[in-house]
Amino acid sequence: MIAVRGLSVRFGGLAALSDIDLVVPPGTVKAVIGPNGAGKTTLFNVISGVQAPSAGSVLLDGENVTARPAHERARRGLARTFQNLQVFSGMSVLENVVVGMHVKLHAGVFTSLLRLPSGRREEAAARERARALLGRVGLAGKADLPVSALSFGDLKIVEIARALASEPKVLLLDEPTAGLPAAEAGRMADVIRAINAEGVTVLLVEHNMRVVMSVSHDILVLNFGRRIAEGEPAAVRAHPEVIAAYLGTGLDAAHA
Amino acid sequence: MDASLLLQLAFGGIVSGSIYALVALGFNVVFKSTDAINFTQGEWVMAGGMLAAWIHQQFAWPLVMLVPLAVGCIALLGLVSERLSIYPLSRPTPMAITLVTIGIAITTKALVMLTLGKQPMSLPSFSGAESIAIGGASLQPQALWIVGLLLATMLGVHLFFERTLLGKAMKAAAADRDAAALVGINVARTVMWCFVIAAGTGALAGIIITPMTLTSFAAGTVLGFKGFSAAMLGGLGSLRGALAGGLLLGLLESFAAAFISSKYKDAVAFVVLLLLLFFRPSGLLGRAQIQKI
Amino acid sequence: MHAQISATTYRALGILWVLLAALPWIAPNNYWLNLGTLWLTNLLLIASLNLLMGYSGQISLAHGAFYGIGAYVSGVLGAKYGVSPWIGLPVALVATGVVAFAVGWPTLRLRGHYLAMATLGFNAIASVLFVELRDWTGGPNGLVNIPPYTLFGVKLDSDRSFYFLALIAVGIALVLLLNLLDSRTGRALRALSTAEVGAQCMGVDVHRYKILVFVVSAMFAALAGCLYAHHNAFVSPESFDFMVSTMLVVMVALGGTGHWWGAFLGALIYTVLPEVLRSFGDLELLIFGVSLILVLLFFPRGMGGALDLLCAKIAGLRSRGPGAKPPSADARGAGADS
Repeated sequence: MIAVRGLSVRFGGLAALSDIDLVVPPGTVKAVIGPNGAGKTTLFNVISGVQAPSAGSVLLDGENVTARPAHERARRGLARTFQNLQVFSGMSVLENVVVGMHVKLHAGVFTSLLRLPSGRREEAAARERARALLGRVGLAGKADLPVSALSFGDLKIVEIARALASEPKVLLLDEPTAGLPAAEAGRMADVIRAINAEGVTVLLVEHNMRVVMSVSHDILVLNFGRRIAEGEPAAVRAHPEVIAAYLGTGLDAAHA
Repeated sequence: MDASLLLQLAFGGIVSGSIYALVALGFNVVFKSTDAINFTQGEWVMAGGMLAAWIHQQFAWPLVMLVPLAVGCIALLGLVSERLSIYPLSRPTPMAITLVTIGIAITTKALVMLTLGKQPMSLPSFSGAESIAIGGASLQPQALWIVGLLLATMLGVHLFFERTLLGKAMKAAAADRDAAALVGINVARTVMWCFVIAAGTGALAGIIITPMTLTSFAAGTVLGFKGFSAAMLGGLGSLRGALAGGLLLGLLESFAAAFISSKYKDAVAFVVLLLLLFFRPSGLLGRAQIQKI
Repeated sequence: MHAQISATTYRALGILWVLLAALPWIAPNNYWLNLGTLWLTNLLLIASLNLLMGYSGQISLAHGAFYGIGAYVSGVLGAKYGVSPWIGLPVALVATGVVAFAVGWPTLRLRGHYLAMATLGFNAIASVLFVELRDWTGGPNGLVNIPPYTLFGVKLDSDRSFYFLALIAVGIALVLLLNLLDSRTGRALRALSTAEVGAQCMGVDVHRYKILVFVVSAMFAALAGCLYAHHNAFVSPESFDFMVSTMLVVMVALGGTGHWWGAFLGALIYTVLPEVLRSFGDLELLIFGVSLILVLLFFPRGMGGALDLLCAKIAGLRSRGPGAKPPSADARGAGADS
């Protein structure tokens, strides 16, 4: 579903990513883990089209999208959430989610200017769907509040609802449990599994190892912009280089 | 091509360019510390010249007294303006500050008109009006004062920012307000000093150009506009950019007037600006801004 | 927060327009009618700039130039070529739209200051052209003999008849503007003005939308230009220079960027203030400058923002205790028109 080949990203002298290959088969959940600064969000930024790579290519559903801008990748079924939030302040929670449907709605400039009935019908239907979606993620009661009234954790969920609104084929989740209380993390894992069960391919960046282990089919480990391990959760967990990257050398590996 | 003509055009361009550079300097100093565009800059230039001319007219004091007095007064005006209008801002965003400077500009212009009158005024040349002949072109001695004082001021401001503690504190505050505050720098104070410097250098610019051009209360707007254009050309916030942008603007105007059309010379400068913005948005010497996602 | 546009907004606009239609009979003399016409034209200018600045976060210092292009194109066609102003109008709109598109495409890739500078540069170039293309524009002394609009052979050049023309034209323009804001397009604009990257990843072609709103807002300014030109019968370059553009930006800020009713207040200030200040003679400039500073200090979110706060306070007082729903939820009927 997603494939990345020979991806490198350099900021001046700093190599944020070096020669990364990645494949996420359709319908699976793949996690990207690694210490802070490993390049995980940079990887997301390149895949979603926010950042141009210095070298390498990105393929979405077999098509080379490296040259395509972010909004065209969204049109092709890619959706994402953001580590530090990109919510639309000044709008309500509901409106944020409706923006997520932008690629699915059709009203153009003229339909909008003239307030044609087809546009109005589409808007009403979109709002209904958005409300239902918020209900599914447990935020129905807050749908009409301005986003400034919600907590960081709630806003992360709003972003997920917004991403789902576009009915994506691939969902990129950037640290979905960050900002959530520990009890909620388990619920988040359930949500991710439910999304995947509907056929959505998921690529996720996450620090919470319990969540990673419980939802992923496959894990990629990055450190200093390079791949240091890849494979099934159990294998990666025991990999000496992974343990070293997180805990340093000379510590009891059994506690990892 | 007549070499003396080219030289004459170059002289003209350098002289007007130096004036623009001095005005641009003030813009850049304020921009560096607040990210805002200081609409009052042109008015301070005008006010400096007007005040000096008026004092000379009333008291016939010598230059050595006039210059520091006028510069000091306008610098004080800048300080008071900042304390009364910028400092009390509840949210000093660049946009808010920019808008307030529009208000200060109008107020300053009005004050000058009400206190010093509507008549145009002038100052005698600093060292006589005999043109100097160089290579077939002629140069007014005042022009040498202008270029000389430009370089001296640039050097002075540069040394201030590089060598003095206050200057370095101002640079720090400009780079990161919060971090500067955390190390004990009074950020609001640095903004005040920036306005003082901008007003002072502006006034100085106004005084040295008044012998060459009459000044009146309405002269500030156009000059401010030109100075801002120079700042844009060179890259907002860069001191060297003010110099480069000013000279570029001056030379462009001079040569465009001669070789393209004197009517369209203003347009030429702006076309160059637009091209620069499209291909090098940070200006000739400015630094590109990077956004972290 | 951008005030929600709902059926109430449309209704309020409608009521206001009905009241305004009564002005010719209420006003003691034509001076007020002319002021009303001026307010309507300024409203169009400020509301369209507010669309650009408040709802899509773009700073433009070229609004005066587009105002001028509309005025000159329609004015020149009428004065020099005898073209009917009714034809001059769409031509001026299209011409301005094309210019706005050409200027916008490269410029709107720039951010913040750079965009402001580029639009300022463009306005400066336009000003030079208004002065130097003398054969068409009449040069620095301006363009004269601009014909008025005529309807069924009747010249719409009396204060009253033109007032109604302006009322209808601006009314239609504002409704179109409201429609645009309360739609998929408007939502995309608001999204890109608050979180551009987020909007892009949700499928909003940010560059295209920025150009769209730039062109639309320029065309509204051109409409204002046409109305101005054919009412005044004379236009000159100073009415469209960078000072005008700067003042328009100030008025948008004073009204409150991004507040729908802010534009109405901004236009009121822009229209009425010069009249009020005139009586102060030499002190005019000083009072204006000081007032500007004071308003900016005490109303940081503009008058529109202050109005919003006031409405919120009133609504808070009206609600019956902590369990009551916020008023915005009540104003929405079946959920279809908020």
